[in-house]
Amino acid sequence: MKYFRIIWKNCMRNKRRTILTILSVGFSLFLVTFLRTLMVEFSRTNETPTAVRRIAVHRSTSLQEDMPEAYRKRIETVQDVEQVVGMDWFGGIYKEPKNFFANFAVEHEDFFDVFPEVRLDTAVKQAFFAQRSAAFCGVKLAERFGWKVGDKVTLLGTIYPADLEFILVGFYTSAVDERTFYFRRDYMQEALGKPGKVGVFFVLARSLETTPRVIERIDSMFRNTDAETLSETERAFQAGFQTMMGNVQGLVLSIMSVVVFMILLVVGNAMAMSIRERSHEIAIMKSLGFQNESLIGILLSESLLISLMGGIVGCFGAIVLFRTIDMTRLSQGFLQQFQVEPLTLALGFCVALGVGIISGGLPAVHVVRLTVSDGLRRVG
Amino acid sequence: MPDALVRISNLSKVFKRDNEEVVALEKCSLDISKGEFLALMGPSGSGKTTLLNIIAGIDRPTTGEVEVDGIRIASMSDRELAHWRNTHIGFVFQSFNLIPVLTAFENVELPLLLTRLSKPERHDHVKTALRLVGLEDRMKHYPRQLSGGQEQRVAIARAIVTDPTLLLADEPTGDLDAHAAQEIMNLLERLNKEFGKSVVMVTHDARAAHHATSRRYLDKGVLLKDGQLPGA
Repeated sequence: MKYFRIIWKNCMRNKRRTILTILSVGFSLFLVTFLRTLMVEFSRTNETPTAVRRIAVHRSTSLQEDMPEAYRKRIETVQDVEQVVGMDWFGGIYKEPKNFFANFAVEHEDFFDVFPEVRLDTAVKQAFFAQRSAAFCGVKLAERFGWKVGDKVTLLGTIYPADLEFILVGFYTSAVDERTFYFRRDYMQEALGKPGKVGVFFVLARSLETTPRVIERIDSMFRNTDAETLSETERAFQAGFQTMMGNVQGLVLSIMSVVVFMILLVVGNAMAMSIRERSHEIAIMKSLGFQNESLIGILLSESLLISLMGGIVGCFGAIVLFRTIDMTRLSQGFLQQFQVEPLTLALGFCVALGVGIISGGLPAVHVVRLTVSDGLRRVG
Repeated sequence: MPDALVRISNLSKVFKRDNEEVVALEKCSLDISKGEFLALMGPSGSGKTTLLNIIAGIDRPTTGEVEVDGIRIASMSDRELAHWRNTHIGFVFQSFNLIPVLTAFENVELPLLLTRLSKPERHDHVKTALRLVGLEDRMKHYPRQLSGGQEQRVAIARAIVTDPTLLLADEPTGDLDAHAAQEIMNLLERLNKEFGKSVVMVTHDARAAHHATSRRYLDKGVLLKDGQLPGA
């Protein structure tokens, strides 16, 4: 700590350069934090005790193709199956495309048994059961559009050739997501002329251990039929959705690597310039008896201090910004919980630490090589 | 000389510049006694600074031996030399060589950061050194806020703050006007006479050399005999 004053004064020797370097690191780490949070958001899965027992059954060929409604009865006969619910992704839009949100038609009698994390008051549930055109949504979605109970909401069909009008009977709460819109599947079927097709069956297995067997049994049951199925855990199903967007994680990782490399160049260059300019002073300190270890320690501490200050600006800046602005609204509902995780924060600071060590360490090698007499001959 | 503080015997220094070999010092032998104030004189390129740097452990001789206070410094490792310099040598440079971002106080404190002294002890030593050079009222000033003479006095305070065995000064008045140069020479003389510091000073300036108790001349890397002048 007795060297802290020297370290601080060296950092503040060229204030403009130091501030610009801190801001470069800050903006880059903000980007790293943002991208990592985006990756976390993409790979976020529901890990509740019920969710891990849920299996999604859909057509093996494509998610866009439906299965016969009659499959439900056969799936219910499979050993270790506790409950089944049919659901369709309606893909409707509210007024205009920018108002995107997830909307599902669900078999109302069984939905709440298979998805207990969707919490709805008993009275609201009863209202949902009683009226065919009833719908409910998450509290955050209702907040977004200022919806109240009793409001009429029309969703314009984009996949199915029907525009559906609903009466909102209430709002659900959930620890996982509060931005989805649910309505009754029988209402949609009626509007479409009862085609008798289902997009996805969500199957609740009796236990986590029986899940692989249930998957195998369901897929065996429909093998060599016109509509073969592909069953997978809900987690795998969601991951499949993500891969539909392409190798986003790979892309994000490549951008993060480029960003980290750029910070290294920026801070490394700043530190190299700073050390080169001070060759003469470093030689003076050596002549006073300073050892290479102490000098390298001082120089490394300077680069660490600068990059960690950049880390604070970038990482905490990201936390404050993401808490201030509504990323869900900004992303039109695409991003549900955009929060910086502690692990992301730790990663950001590890990057800052690594950048500090590498960018300060490489120029510090110059210090070891510098002899006192050579250094004293240098001016500036 | 039985009480020699510095004993140099058959010292040679050859620099290699590209493929050329430049002989800076050739078979120099010299004894400097305790309490002596020696002025090393000679024309530019005669090897004065090289000899001073070797005595300070900043450069190494190509051949020959250097013994300071009974310690053979030529065989020491870089690490040992750095520690030895900190405790035994005080160095005053021609261009002061203060750290511009540190105050006078902090510049003087620098060598003490390498010791085991506590913070209050360090501060006591620094204040004493600055008082000795007459700059106790300039402690918080940065080098750019001081005159050349004051900067050199801070540099002298930094050189003596560890109470070194030997004070080495390389053209300490070279960058100063006559008045400031006189002040610095008076200070060095006082350190030698009142405090018994052994001083080796490299200088071109005959007036500065007049303050020394003895003078030796170097010519083309050869140390002339005691009392011998170049060209004589």
